[in-house]
Amino acid sequence: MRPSEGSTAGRSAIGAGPSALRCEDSGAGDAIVFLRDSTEQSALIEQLAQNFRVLAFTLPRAVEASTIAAEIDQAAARHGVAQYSVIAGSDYALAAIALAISFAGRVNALVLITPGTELLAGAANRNGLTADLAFEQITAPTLTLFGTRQDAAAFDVGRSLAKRIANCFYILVYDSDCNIGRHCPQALLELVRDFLKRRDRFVVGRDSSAIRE
Amino acid sequence: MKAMKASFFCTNTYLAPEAFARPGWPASPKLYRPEIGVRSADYALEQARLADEAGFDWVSCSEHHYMPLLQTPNPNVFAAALTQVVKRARIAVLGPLVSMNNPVRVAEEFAMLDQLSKGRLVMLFLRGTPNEFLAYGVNPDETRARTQEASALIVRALTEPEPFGWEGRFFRFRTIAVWPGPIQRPHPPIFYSGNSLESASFAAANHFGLGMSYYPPQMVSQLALYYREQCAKSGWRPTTDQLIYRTFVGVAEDDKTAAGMKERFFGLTATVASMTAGRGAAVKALTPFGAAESLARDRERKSAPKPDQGQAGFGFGALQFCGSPDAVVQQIANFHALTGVGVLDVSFGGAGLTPQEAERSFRLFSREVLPRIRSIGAGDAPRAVNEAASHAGSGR
Repeated sequence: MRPSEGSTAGRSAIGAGPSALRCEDSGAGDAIVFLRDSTEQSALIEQLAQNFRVLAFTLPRAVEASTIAAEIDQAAARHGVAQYSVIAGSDYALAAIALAISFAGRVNALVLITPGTELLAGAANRNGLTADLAFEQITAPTLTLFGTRQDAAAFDVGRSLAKRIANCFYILVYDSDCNIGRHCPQALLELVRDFLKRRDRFVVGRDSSAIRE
Repeated sequence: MKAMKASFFCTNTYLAPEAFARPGWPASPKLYRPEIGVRSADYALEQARLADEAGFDWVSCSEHHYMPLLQTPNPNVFAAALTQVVKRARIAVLGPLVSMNNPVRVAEEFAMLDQLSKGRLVMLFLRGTPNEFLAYGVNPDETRARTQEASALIVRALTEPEPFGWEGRFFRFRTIAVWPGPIQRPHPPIFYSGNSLESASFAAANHFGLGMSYYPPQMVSQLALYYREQCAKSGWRPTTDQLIYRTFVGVAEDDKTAAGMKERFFGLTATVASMTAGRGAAVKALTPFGAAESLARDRERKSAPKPDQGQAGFGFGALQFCGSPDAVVQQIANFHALTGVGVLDVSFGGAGLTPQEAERSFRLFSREVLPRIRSIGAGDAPRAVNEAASHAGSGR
């Protein structure tokens, strides 16, 4: 099912579970499981595929997070992917977290782009599910991104994740709302790409300040 | 309404005239004599101490570079010294040039100052004068955007409870966790340098107070009105002490003596001429009257001051408030009624006046003006001030 290197994409429908996942497989390199949602993420997926192998999943709605997480992991395995990083937008942050908790040995890193307030204790997501996940069990280095023009509740989510996940990097993208991919696509790409390449060492500056060598 | 407040602008001016003899910016470092430098700092800190004792509400300082008039290239260093001699008044850093400094460093220094002053810090985010952008090699065309981003980042750095990163247009930090934190929560009072409509809009949108400087009262009134309108659009109303006005004051025993001071005072004329001479001429001259032009155009106010009514830059040369104590009190009352400004940030010296005259102004202002301006604004109804400001702003 994997496309040959250099090909743009391979599509597959995975009907093993009740959810009928759809997956696009592109690029080569370390694997990323990308849980795409309604926001504009095609460009990001395409750009990441220049450095990584990206399994971009389109998920059904109204499915319980732990159930869908198991199906995604199985689908990744069927693609021959044993280790992967996970990226999710706000709609599928819970599923991504469930993956990071349930399959901790296989998830290298976790990226949550503007996760929503359903992650806060006691809140319910749009599918009526509550966030009863134990974020403290996440061991993968985690990057959470928010735009500075989001409302205050968004930052409560970021602070909560930063507090509860042992190795969480909470980043604010200046002058963006919740759609960072549209407002600051270059910043989003650079942050995610750098994080997935360097993970914990992502905080170490690499940009040269030399005026000339 | 809150009563009028007074702030003493402590400039740390170099106390030997030969440093001012040759115009142009920057001033040559060879003119600096260490013994004069020490004496200047001692004198400045003593003036600050006296201002505190006299009842000034704030003692302020500002960042300026490469000039003997204002020897505070790092205002936070100077403010740290102020915290040790000013025991009661607020320490107002008005402010660092956030357009060209590391914003995280500025936030850290602000937090330290709030700690050292036991929660008396007031902070203002300043963009700077064009010649000063040369000091650190910042592109002048980017300074407005840099100032805005830096301001947002400083506020975040002072308020975020968890370590965070920042990915911006001009600044990138992967880990920020300011320690010590501010004493005042969520943060010390914030002002934004607001000598233009754009700045006033930004200040309003971000719930910052507004700092204006040296404009004539009519222009201050218009800018203050515009700012209030923008605040209303953002769903809030500033108090009078969220409006600062920096200016010169000259007080003498009688009006006739004061008139002599006013005649000899050349204010910022020479200063601005100097800043825009020498290497300072390499950048576009100050055009603060863009604000007035825009106001006049947008609002069709025939009474708006024209750009050519002032000196180059914002160098209106007059002592804004000058006269006997009685006269100055009345002038300040009139100014408050016109503008609604609640904090006057004043300086007394230099610019053609002798040190003795400056000290006399300071003494008279402290003793005979300051106690009396406390009642100004204290009994105002909010509507009265707004209407006064609106009336003044409309030019009717």
